Amino acid sequence: MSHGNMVNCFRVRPAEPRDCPEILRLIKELAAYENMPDAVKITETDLLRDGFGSRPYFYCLVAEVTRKDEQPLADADIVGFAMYYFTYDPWIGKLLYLEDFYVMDEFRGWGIGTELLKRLSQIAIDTNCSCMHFLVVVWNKPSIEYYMRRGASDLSTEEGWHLFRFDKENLIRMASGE
Amino acid sequence: MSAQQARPLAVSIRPCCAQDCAQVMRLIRELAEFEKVPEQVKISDQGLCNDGFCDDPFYKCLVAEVQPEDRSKAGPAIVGYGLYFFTYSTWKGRNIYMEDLYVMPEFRGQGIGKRLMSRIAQIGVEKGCTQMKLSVLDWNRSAIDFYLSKGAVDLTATEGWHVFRFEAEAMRQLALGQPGE
Repeated sequence: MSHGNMVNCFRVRPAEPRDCPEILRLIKELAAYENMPDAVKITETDLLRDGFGSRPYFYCLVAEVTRKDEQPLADADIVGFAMYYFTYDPWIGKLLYLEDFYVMDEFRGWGIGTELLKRLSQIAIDTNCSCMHFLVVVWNKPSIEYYMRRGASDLSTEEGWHLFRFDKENLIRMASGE
Repeated sequence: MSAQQARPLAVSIRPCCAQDCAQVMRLIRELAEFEKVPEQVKISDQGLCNDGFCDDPFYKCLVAEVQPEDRSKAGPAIVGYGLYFFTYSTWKGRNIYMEDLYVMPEFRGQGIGKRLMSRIAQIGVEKGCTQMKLSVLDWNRSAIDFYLSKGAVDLTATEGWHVFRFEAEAMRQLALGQPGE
């Protein structure tokens, strides 16, 4: 996308509380892309409390598009994000878990994804994480290829790991001791 | 071989403390043996302790402890553990993830595993979690059947979710900003 003689560029930075509405917009866009537009139940309030409260459940990087000759933040649009948190493997220690990773369609090919992954990897290395884990739906061929090209391995196929989920109803039932 | 018990052993479920780490490490190694990959355990007792008992712990752990009246002289006090942490779903919010659940074979059949899992589920509900997740190896039929019988759904089989990993070398390449082939 070009506008006359202005040059589009972007920057990646840690998310701030004021970014929550935009992050939620992108979460919903990603859900729609995954054919699950009504699946998103969390709200801006949830994101604020859980990401920017006293005990963060997640961390977020955002990618914003700026125009070189304007004030850096005056009209910056958030066009991509990565949500991550830290998990633990008792065999190898800390891991960085990439929960969501999305760049708006019209901003792909700019290197935003590469920059997000670069920053995530730097964070993982700086915090002594042994590796990064994430999920991909196996029939999402473009995503699979994107990650495999960058050296990812499919642990479900290679080692036989299956992910299981208990939904809220079952969680409550188990919590009651049934 | 254990003798027939007239009644179940008195076992309490409580949070792990720093002094338990050596015992929990023993059980972690036993579980890795069972999963046929004992050489993959790289962490030390000290590492496990540091990561769980620092200012910002990376995991939480519950242990199953045989009460003094039922403890045999040479036998272990800690006979099972459940290791968990909190994760986040951009769709559903707070989740609890059960990373490890293990009871020594000779102490199974007494509901210890169920009690550990139930306590983790309780903690999840208390913290406002809407889902609990865990991973199982595809050949571990008894574990799969156990979790399915409790109402779990196999997301890999039913929805095609696969776990991917960038290992150390791939991460180093990404950190250099390599765009990939």
